[in-house]
Amino acid sequence: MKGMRGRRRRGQILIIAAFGMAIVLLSTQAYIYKVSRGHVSSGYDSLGDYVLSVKLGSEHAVTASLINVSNGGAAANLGDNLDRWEAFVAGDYRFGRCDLNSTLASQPPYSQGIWLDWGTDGVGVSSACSDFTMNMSGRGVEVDLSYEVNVTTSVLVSGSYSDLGGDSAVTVIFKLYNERSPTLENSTTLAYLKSGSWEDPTVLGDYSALDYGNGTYLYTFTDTIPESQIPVRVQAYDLRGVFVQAEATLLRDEGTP
Amino acid sequence: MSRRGVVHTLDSFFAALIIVTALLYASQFPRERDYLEDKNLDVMGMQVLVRLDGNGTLGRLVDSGNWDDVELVLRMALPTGVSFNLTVLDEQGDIVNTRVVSNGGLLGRKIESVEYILAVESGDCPLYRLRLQLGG
Repeated sequence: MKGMRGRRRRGQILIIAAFGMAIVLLSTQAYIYKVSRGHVSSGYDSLGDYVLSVKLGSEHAVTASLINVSNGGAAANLGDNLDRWEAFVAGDYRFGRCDLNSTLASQPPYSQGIWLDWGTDGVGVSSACSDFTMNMSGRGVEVDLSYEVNVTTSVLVSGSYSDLGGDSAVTVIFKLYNERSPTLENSTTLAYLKSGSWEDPTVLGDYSALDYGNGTYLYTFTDTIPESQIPVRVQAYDLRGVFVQAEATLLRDEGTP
Repeated sequence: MSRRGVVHTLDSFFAALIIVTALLYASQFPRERDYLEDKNLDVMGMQVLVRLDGNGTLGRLVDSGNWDDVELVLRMALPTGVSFNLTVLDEQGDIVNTRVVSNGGLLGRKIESVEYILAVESGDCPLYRLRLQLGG
């Protein structure tokens, strides 16, 4: 009888051991599977992207305002647009309460966040600037962020002319910048002052325009201009649609006889 | 004697069956996993929208009402296997997309939604709220 029981127990032990091995196998495999899953912190990723989207929106709102103001809109449009943007952001409770506040640049040369300087010294600037503070709180999120948005389109105009025995061969170099980096134009209008009126050089036979592809443009033309100094004016739109203008007075090239 | 042998054989058979079953189950765990399982669709959607909005493209397309191109850029930006449906609301909360912007309806085991607030680089600075639903 004892021998019989011992054999039965051996059989039970064998099955229990098999169960044990099966459990170890399965749990090991399950553990490896679980560990192989990357830890994805979606909440953090989303928050970072959300903050970035608000910052991008602020930049777009400032740019849109500069487009408006540089094309003849009221300077107050920047403040109005940013007020709308702040209210729009405040209505979004995805991560809790979000307070966005803008402070328009008021230090000279800025006024109401806008600086338009379309001078006669060969430099033209259209710029909008505002500081932002962003506070988010609630739903386990605390964000305090300050950033500045400065959108500036500037233009440099230079050149000279040479006397060709009564005619003047004019060379104008025009450089366009976005935030001090060279950028491409969307469209440009060049004019020169002759006998008190602004003339269009594109109607002249030898007018030529050369685009260097790096934000630098060269214009040449020849006309009979009685004045010894030739004022030229460049009006340009960058690819964002911001308008900028500059005038320069060209002097006779000393290298010409 | 023969009964004992039968019992031994049955014990061994059951033990072997248990081990083989465990091995079979273990082999069913996926070795190569689809990365979409790990990636949260809402995070992916937000990143795509941020990327498209970075240079103002998204705003220009939405503001011009060019829904074909909006759909096209979303098709290109989102991975294959992710379905989407975009709803565009204006500042007052009214739906402005005049047609469905989708790649064939929302499909997939998982459906997630992301909202994106958009300011457009245009003269009167229009504001939009984009609701992007994703399935994968």
